[in-house]
Amino acid sequence: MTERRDTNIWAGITSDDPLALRDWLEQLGFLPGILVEGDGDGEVMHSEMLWPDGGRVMVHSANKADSTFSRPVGSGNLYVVVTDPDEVYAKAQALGATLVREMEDADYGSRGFSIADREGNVWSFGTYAG
Amino acid sequence: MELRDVRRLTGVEITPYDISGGSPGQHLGLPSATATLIVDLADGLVLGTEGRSETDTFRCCLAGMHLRPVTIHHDGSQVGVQVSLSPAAVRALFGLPVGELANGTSELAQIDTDIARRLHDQLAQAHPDDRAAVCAGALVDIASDAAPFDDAHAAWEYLARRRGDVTVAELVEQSGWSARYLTRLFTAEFGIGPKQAARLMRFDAARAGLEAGRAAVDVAADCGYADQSHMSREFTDLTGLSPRSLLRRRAEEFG
Repeated sequence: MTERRDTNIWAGITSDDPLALRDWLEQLGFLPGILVEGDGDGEVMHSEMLWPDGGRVMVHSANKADSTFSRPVGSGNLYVVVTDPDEVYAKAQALGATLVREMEDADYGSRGFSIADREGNVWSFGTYAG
Repeated sequence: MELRDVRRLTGVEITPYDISGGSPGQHLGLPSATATLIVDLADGLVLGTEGRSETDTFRCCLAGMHLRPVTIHHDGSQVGVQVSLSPAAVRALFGLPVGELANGTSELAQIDTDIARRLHDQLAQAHPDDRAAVCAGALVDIASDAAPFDDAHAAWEYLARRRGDVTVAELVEQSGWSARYLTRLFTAEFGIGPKQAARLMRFDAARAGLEAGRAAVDVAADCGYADQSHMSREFTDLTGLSPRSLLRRRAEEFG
């Protein structure tokens, strides 16, 4: 069996302030990917943030003209596979992120924690990679 | 001195400077929709960036477009030649997209040793009054005929002609590409997206208007800002200073 490279499903997040959310994600360790800004102040039509170990999320504003891909803000729940959760945890603490679940070693062999961003999306980081 | 369409070298503005006996200070390198080449003919150009305590010293400095100001420290004497370069000129001179310089400042010798040495030597030997002409001649000698003209540059030209007063939607419509694809092309070439480029061009135009003594309310309207406070916010975002404070600061620097 060939090694799986799980980069083919991208989660999308509707955000009130996508530029701020991108900045927050960058401070957690995401790399900034493409940013397609709209005409409104702070409006983002499409953007991607890349996790260095693989995977990415799309962050965008609610589209007022076409709500096809808009979801209620703060409803995202995402899990990010990470090799060093303690490093991300330290960054989250430095950011003053709201802790949703303390760092723990789960019985299925994962070490990780969960935080919420300012808009209420929950971000879990853990070593469990399937 | 301005170079326009000399061997396809367009959008080049050459400004020699020779200031001595002033007091030590800091000069604000403002964000702009151009790259900047500075050939220092004194003891080196000392640059600092926001949020960093260290400074770097350059002899021939090539800086890409940036969205925050750069601080230039000097001891009261400054001698050299500043050249502002359009993205097309950066391509023609150095054969690379200006995006590769984005938010960074490089010693030109690390990009092209030969060009850096020739420029510096020729300018150092020139009489101060001839520096602009000597610089223009040297740049024309360097420029290759292979100027780029692709969709990214076409979009840039469209924005530039309208001094940044273009909506993203209109630019996308004009290009025939999707917003996503156009932004990808554009960002790869220029290092910033269309909206940021438009902001910089608009800022350049507004600053020129204000520095020419025009009323802020008229400048804001002409440059396509929603109102004067919108223009103010943009100035504060890009320079850390309100339009009024920026003008005062520039008058003090160059007065």
